[in-house]
Amino acid sequence: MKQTVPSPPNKGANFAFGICLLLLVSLPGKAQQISTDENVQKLKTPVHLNLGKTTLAAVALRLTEQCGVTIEPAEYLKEREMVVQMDGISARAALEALSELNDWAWKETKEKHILIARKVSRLPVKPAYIWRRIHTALPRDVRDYLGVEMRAENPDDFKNPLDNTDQQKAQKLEEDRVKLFRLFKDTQIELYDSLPKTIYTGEPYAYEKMSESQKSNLLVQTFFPVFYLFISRGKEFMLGDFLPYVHDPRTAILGLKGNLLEVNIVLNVPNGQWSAGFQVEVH
Amino acid sequence: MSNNIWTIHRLFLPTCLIVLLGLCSRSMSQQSTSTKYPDRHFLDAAFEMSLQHATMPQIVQKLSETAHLSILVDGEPNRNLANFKFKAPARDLLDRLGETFDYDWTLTRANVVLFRKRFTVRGERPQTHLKEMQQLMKDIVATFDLAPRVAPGDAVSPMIQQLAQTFTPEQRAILNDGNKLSAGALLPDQLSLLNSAILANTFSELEEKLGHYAPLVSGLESSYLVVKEQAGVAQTSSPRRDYILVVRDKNKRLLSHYFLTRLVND
Repeated sequence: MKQTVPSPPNKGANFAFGICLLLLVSLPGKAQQISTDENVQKLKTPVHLNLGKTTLAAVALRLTEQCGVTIEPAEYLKEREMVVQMDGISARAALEALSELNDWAWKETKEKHILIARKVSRLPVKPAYIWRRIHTALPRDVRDYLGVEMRAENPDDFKNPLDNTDQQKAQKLEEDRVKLFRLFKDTQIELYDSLPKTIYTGEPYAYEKMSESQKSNLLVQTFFPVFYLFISRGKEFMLGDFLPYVHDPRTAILGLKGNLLEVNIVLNVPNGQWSAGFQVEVH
Repeated sequence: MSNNIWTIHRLFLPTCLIVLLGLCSRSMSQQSTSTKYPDRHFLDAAFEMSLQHATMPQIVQKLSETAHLSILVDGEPNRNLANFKFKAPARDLLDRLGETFDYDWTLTRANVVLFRKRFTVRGERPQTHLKEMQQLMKDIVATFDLAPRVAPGDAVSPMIQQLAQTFTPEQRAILNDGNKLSAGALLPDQLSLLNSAILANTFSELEEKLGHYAPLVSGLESSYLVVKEQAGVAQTSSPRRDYILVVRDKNKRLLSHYFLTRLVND
């Protein structure tokens, strides 16, 4: 029988990678590069944005008018709602505040043209990073709603899912699950109760005819089951990491119980050991 | 050897500095509100504010004018009106505003006050804009494309069956004796099979569900709802309404449909 000896992890590369990630997370929205001195100066223009309740598209338009550099949000961010009372700060400070509020980034895409968009995940493209890439993709408020913390550490440093320090997080996870389910039910009832009577005669009710609140409730009905599914994956999703055998199958332990082949991982926890995995009937 | 030590020191010292800076910036944002930003003395100046039945945007406007603060609030609170009458330092007014409408506040480097929702009050929810959610769904689907393709259903099972058939007599003996077999001791082909089974077990349900919900979200603009009433199955059971969300493409081809069921007496 051939013994496969696990190769030691490349600590140096992992360490350097961790530092790079830490830098990325520690410096949100900073050090944006502007190509010309003229634009640098324009972004120093004091702006007066006493807009009250508004949208990102409207804020960007006013910023553009006041500083002379075209500032545009990505198409999918234009409808984001906010209350804006920013007076006497530079256009650049306003841009940075907008970006920091929602973990967006702004960059000069061409001369005199700045785009506000979501941050792009810089994690390597491989399965082990899936949850962390999804964390990055989630809008900031969704992340806060689901109680997801961005984790930048090296994914090889798997955090023990039963670590005592995480018990509060486990409770929070359960609360989030209840909160999400409640939201799903509340919006469903709100949607049902707001539908026109004609729908009960069999007449289809088109999305384009729906009110804004009906559209929003319908969107919750079709999207939030995905969030619920994520939360159901428990700590795996919250910690942004898979069980160690997903990263390295050599950490798995095989066992036979009757005709069930078990594939587990065993983790040391403060009060002993804990195992997780799955089993399949074999013949 | 000495070169190596020098290299370690050269890397270690700036790294420590970076880590410390990172930790400091994180701990700043985790401080309780009462000790927030002790060095920003403009927050200590006291102001008086009095507003009756005011919305958050109205209070923010007044606070911004009174305390000369730049303020940015994400979304809008679920709670509509509040009375806001206080004479207090700016930082306490910001705390009160946050408490009243379920928001947390932080400061940017340029001292802009950012209010973000806490989501501790029932009914508060993140913003849901169709285009943003469609983009998010695209990103989620693209991210899960990184996972290996697995057939729906019991894809894990055949892979584990296949793995079991490749066990050597020694491996079989270990397992039959009730002992554990470390996957690190598997042959390369066996390890590859095990890896595929683990990935399928991890990802197949997620891929299946995403395959169902993604077309719904991407095609929502062309969707419509229909209701079908079903009689109660048993005498005691309530009649049921099936709310069916139908999503078709431009050529009227059915992309997806989704059942939302509700009992009529619910």
